[in-house]
Amino acid sequence: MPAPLLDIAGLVLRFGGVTALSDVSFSVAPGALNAIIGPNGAGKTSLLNCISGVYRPQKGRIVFDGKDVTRMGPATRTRMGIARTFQNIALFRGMTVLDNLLIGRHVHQKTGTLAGGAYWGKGQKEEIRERERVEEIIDFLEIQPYRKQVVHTMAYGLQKRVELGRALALDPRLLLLDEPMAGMNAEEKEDMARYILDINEERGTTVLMIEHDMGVVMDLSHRVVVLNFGQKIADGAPEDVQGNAEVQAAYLGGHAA
Amino acid sequence: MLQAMEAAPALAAEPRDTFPKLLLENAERFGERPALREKDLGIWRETSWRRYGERVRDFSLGLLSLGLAREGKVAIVGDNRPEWVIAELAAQSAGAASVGIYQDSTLTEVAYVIDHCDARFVVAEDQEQVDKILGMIDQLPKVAHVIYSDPRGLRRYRHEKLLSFEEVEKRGREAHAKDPGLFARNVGEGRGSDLAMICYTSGTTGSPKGAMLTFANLLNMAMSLHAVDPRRRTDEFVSFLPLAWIGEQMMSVATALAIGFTINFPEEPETALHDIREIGPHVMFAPPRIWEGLNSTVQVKIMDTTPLKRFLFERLMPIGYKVADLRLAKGRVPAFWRLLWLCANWLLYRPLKDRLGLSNLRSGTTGGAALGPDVFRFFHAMGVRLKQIYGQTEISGISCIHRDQRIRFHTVGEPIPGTEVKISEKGEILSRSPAVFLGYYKNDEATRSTLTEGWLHSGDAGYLEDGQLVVIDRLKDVLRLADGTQFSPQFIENRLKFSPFVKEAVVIGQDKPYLVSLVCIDQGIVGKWAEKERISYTTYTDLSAKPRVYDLLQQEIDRVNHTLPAAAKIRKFVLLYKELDADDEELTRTRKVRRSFVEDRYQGIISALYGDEEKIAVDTTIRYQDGRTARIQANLAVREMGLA
Repeated sequence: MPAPLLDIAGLVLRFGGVTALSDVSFSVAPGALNAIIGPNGAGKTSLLNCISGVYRPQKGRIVFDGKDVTRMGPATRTRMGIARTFQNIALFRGMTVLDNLLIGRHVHQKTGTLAGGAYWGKGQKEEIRERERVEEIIDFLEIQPYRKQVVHTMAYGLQKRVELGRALALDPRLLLLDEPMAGMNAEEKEDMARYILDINEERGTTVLMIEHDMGVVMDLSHRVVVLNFGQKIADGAPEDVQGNAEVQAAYLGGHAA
Repeated sequence: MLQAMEAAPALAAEPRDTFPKLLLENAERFGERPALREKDLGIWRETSWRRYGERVRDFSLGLLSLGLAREGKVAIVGDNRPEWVIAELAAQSAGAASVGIYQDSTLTEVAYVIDHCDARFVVAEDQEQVDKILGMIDQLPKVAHVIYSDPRGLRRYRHEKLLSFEEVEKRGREAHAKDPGLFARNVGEGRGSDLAMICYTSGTTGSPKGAMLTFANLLNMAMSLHAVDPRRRTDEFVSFLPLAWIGEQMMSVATALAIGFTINFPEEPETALHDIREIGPHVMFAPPRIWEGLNSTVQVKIMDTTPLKRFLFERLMPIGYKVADLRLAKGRVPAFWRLLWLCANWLLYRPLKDRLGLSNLRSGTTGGAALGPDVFRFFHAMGVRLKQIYGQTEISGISCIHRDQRIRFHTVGEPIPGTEVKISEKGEILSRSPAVFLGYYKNDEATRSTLTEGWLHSGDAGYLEDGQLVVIDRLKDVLRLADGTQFSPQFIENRLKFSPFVKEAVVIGQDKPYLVSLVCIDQGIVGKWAEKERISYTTYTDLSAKPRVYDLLQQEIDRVNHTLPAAAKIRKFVLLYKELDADDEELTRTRKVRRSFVEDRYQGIISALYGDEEKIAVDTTIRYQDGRTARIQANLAVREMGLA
């Protein structure tokens, strides 16, 4: 077994008296496409927030690529290669697709403010290189017709695609997707599933996603982690998890035995 | 490549009678001038004539190393990309013929064509096309190799028949290194009388038929057309219609090679109109729906624009219309009107043409079906001298075109040089020229009924008017009412479709007491109109059932009825609850109505139109492209026209 890309051990997150996550541990192998599922309020998004650095857990350790990142800020983690999308689209609504994606590249820019402000020289070269990377992503996600379109005028499914594009622009090694298919119609879901598969297989990016559509989860993911009331109740291959009595109880609203 | 170029001077003495010979000559003469341009990653990337020649050479030798035989067939399917034409010319360089397949064909159509043409090689663009072909590979025993050009999503595919475009080119480079003169020798063996391509026509009935065309056919047509509608070496052309279609072959391959202008491939089919604007083509050949689309885009945008712009548009367009009418009727325009037109041009037409990408357009042509006079006038008013062309796949695409000084909207122009056109006793249009095809591939019976003593039977009914050809309809589609009155459904349908609100219309009346019509509204334009009129709607089905929409369409039909003879006016109509769709087999791939299929499918509605009912209950299932189905329940209203 190769060393896991992401290793989470004994994570505890509390908001005042509410325990959002209690003693959650699991790991994600490099190159995996894993899913986190669970009823709402189970702590899935909180867990993603801990990994991306938005929340600081009270206890536990998050190790990314062999380094303990538990105390690092979100920006540092992004530079290390963790990118995410949000449940509710978080794009710059008044800006074009192109600009939104270019902003995603910003973390990788090395030119200083002064040199970057000048038209010629290092900054220009870097801009050209970044634009090229962004164009590859536009090609990959097949959003060429919308390059110059302002984001808030676009259909919801397309905005989701743009958001995915911005996360890809960060060149992540670990991509966290928070409900990538929420609110999509069947055709859009199918497209999105294909993009996620391609990201994982062609680009070799490790993906960890929260998803409610069980069909998608069972089809795509290699492993599934199930959360309920902040606790991990199952972790395994999709078919094993599906047969797990505790999981079925959680989904049917019963009490875990 | 150098070696091949060294061999080229010997070729110069030979006649330029095949596409590969022209390519070699152009590669030498034009060198680094752009031959192809493709928008990739947002940037137009050029392929020079020299590089074009090299890529064709490599792919051609690669195909040979994989066992392509002279007189073999290479089927090609995919969007318009440089690899499409490279694969075609590579096949032809090896003495084989290319067979284009429409990229949106159904599986059965694809399988039929690949199998019928005996192709050993299939060049497919991407995962989508490869999936289609590998999925049916068991039914295609003759196919030995499937070659893809876009590796996206295909990296993990393992199939003994599957290989990439690059691998074939690599094999070709190796073969070239071993024998640098091989390619030039292969090309030298080609003759003008060789089979260049088989063009399968998307027939309105039955299986597609493969028209066999030689280099001589295609080049003859290209040069005859050039003689009356000249192209220049410096021209830009955007290739956005299916390359499997003879019209696109005529421009992007035959004429481009013969003249040496630049072909531009759009980034994606969806970005074509945007890409046209970026390129500003000098030559544009498109079926009516493209011109109608440009026209209605303008009309819709004008509804949405600022009052000042709308004011200018409404005041200045009449000047253009007046000038266009004067020029077309009398051939000359008085100085006063010319001056007015120049002002209007500066204020309105020029910016408008820039928006549409027509600023540089010198030769705009429409063909394949009739274009509404309103649309014609619109372009002529702006100074875009749109011309109609007419022809069949079997005559290499073109037999007639409007001449600059003699444009009549209802005709399709005059025969191009070397082409004779006459009307048979039955009223059928016959034509004869060196561009007439060899016959249908493996279908002698069809060949015999189409080709007699060199005359090509078009199957179209028509007549000549002062040397200009007028096309009425398909001969078999000229129908009679029960009382014997003749009418042409398509003629009336086209009139109906000239209304921007009508997307499709089907007129019925064979052996019936009167004419009725099924009408599909144009959701974009009717939707916009409804918004303006504050009519709320949800879906297409809902919109098409609104009484106010019925009123609107009734006015449109009334206008058409005024131009029709009393005995052949439309008496009743319904607005269909869905658009006619090629995926439901209601339209052909070139979007022509499959009349008998539609009549059969909507039989219930049609018989109700001949009854006394005012409402027709519909309960049907429709099938989406991905195979899912949905149930539609609706009450269709029957509207009776108030006939005076």
